[in-house]
Amino acid sequence: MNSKLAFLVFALATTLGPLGLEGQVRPPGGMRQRQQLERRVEQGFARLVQAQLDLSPEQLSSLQAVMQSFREDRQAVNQAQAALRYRLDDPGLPDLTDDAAKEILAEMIRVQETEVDLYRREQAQLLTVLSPNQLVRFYRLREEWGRRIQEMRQPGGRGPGGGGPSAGWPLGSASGLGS
Amino acid sequence: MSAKDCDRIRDVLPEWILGTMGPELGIEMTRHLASCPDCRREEEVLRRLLSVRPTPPEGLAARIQARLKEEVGTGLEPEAPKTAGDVIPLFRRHRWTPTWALSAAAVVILSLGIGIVWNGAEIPEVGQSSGQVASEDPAPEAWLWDDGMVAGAPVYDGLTDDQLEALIEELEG
Repeated sequence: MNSKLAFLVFALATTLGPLGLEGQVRPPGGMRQRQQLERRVEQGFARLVQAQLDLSPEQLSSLQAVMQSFREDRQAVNQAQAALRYRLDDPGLPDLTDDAAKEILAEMIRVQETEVDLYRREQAQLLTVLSPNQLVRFYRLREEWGRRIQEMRQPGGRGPGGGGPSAGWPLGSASGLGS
Repeated sequence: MSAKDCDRIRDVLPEWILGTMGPELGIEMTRHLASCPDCRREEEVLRRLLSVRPTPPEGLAARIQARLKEEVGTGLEPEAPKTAGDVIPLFRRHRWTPTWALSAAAVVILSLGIGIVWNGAEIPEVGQSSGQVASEDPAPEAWLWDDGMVAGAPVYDGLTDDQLEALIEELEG
């Protein structure tokens, strides 16, 4: 085998090897199952929103479509943020050159801008489904929902085995959000 | 230009593409590639292969080196970059590296991967949810964007499947 062929084999192995390995390690359907779970959570939240804001079935369906349509953009921003956190957590950070540091700073701005742009575009789309008043109440619900998730994420937080949800969740009519 | 010249050139194409070749050799490569369409085609194919090769996250090499240094101790100083003076001209070069070495390396890498799976060893799952980045240490507790929200909506990173099930129950209950 000449060295060219050896190199080809090596390049293919390093390119395709990890992909194949990932496929073998991940339990069959594990990724799909996770996505289904996340989708069910979002559907449950949308139904809660429907009840709280007294949305029609058509409005609910449109709302879910809007939320779904921004899912990939949101994941991309999330990934960019996680990548930045990863870089900032690098033990070699103190030795960073000024150029590399500037690159990180520029990336921070870019990611923030992307997030604001996403927020703006989503708000415009949501306003095609909800009235301004409903949208403000929707944001309030989502904020509360996010807080509940964050609470569950914390070590020792109120999750399975760690106690129930905080008082007042899910938000009821007492919250003033009901129609 | 003989077939022998082409063989020699193709043997060092990977180094040429990876930019690890010294300047003297670079001149010879440039001359040869300018006059040999077959070798240029070969170069193009290898460049394409390399362009799809996944790149490790930035800083990974430094982390591994630092960890190895911690665990093993000394003797792991990074190799100094080669200077032009260190490079042996192409046609005087001793090919002491057996050509089967790269193939063997590829086989070892694949075998290790298969072996790990075969033995059921646990491998941290990378990116179970799309936003996750593999890291041995937990994310800092308080940092930019550490509220689990992106553009006003929650993301589900860091939640287990059981926790998601619990959330669904809360919503449905």
